[in-house]
Amino acid sequence: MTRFLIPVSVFCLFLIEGTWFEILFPQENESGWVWMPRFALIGVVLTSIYRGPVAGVWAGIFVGFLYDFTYTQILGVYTFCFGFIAYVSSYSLPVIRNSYGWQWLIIFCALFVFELLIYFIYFLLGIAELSFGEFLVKRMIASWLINGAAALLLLVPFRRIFEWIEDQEKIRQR
Amino acid sequence: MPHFFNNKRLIILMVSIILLVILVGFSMRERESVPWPEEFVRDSVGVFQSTISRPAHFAANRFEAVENLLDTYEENKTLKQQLEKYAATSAELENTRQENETLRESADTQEMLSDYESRRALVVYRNPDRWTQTIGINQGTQNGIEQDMAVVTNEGLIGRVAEASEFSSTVQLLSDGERTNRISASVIAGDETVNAFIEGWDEDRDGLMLRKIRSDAEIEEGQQVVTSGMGGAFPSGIPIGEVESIEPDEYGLTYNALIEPAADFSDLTYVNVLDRNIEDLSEEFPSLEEDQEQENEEEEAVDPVGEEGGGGS
Repeated sequence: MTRFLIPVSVFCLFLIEGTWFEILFPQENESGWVWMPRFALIGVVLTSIYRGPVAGVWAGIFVGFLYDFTYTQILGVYTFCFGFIAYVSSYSLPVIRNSYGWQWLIIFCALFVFELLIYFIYFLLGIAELSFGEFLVKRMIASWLINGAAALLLLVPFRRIFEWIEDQEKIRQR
Repeated sequence: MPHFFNNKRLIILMVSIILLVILVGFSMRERESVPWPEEFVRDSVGVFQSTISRPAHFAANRFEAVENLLDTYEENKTLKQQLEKYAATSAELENTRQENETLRESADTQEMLSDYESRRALVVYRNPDRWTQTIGINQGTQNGIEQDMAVVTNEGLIGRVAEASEFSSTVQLLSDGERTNRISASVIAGDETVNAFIEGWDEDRDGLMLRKIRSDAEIEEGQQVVTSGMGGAFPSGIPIGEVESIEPDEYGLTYNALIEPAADFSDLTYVNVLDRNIEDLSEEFPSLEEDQEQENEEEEAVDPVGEEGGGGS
């Protein structure tokens, strides 16, 4: 049960991202701002903070894999980026585990690196045609705003989940 | 804190970058069919997406219903004005339809470029990163959907089926920037129709690019653009949009036009997939489907016998 809790919660975020968010908040293209929800990324980063790099990278590869197979027709890009982000954001110090502020900051930086990676790969492949300046304004800032807000909402429930998992593990060890 | 990038990790990173390049190269080429693992994952995720999309659509419709209620008075006024014209138009339509039928009978043509069967599908997801403009629908090859079919809403064309799995498929919207997304279209310019190609999406001006328009064609702003039906999988006469502006292309030999799409790509609930199976299209659609099913069953029944025969000999 505890083993499947992380993949299931990340999978739920993945579904919310593509289905609920897009249906409930349809975007008008005219302003040029693109609101990309990255809720699954928040889940992956928190997993690697609380559970260490190995669990984080597996969660990242799992959700990246789903992303590649369902949303984009290009395989590998999201699997690689999610895995990479999960690895570089695995700061599992007690200070960070106990402070929402640090976690939020790490998510914020992870979003930056993630969007940048995706942009560069897509730019090399000729899919992204935005200039770098436009990308920073229209996508990066929008992503920070929406995902930063989403992270504030997700920090507490995720902490509860991880604490519950740790309790369960302790009980099993006795 | 992990020790970043010591030897072992560097090797893993390199290997995964190589894997990334291989996978990207594999999936970037034009694929005829989708490999089965991809299809399997997409279908199983599609089940979840399909279930959770229904309450979302329901809620979204409620919001819209409230908005609509507020506009009712104004709308009612304009609709009443249009209703007067409606009677005349419908009489004319009926007249034209009968005329068309008699003419077709006398010309002995059964098949038209505009013939198609339509299948309704629910939008279950949309690609949340808007780098590629794709949506997912809850109908697949099991429901008779195939690659490259036209996808429309009531307002007009929105895209084509990019990849069809068993129970779900991916639709590439017209607003996707890819140049290979080419559609044979025609502009209705007064009495004549001018053929050209829809190629790509103009990011800066938010419109479709209609290219290779004959330079002597008289195209004006506001003229309707429809599919011409000469480009393979798309039936003719589906509205695409109207001409917003026109300019000569870079070599001055042909004209380019910016088309404002008729359909709204941002808020999609139900879409129709058009199946242009000209060969076996008949007047009675239901019986046709039954026939096809029977044929399939017969084929299935015949197949094992054939295999056994092959094995025996």
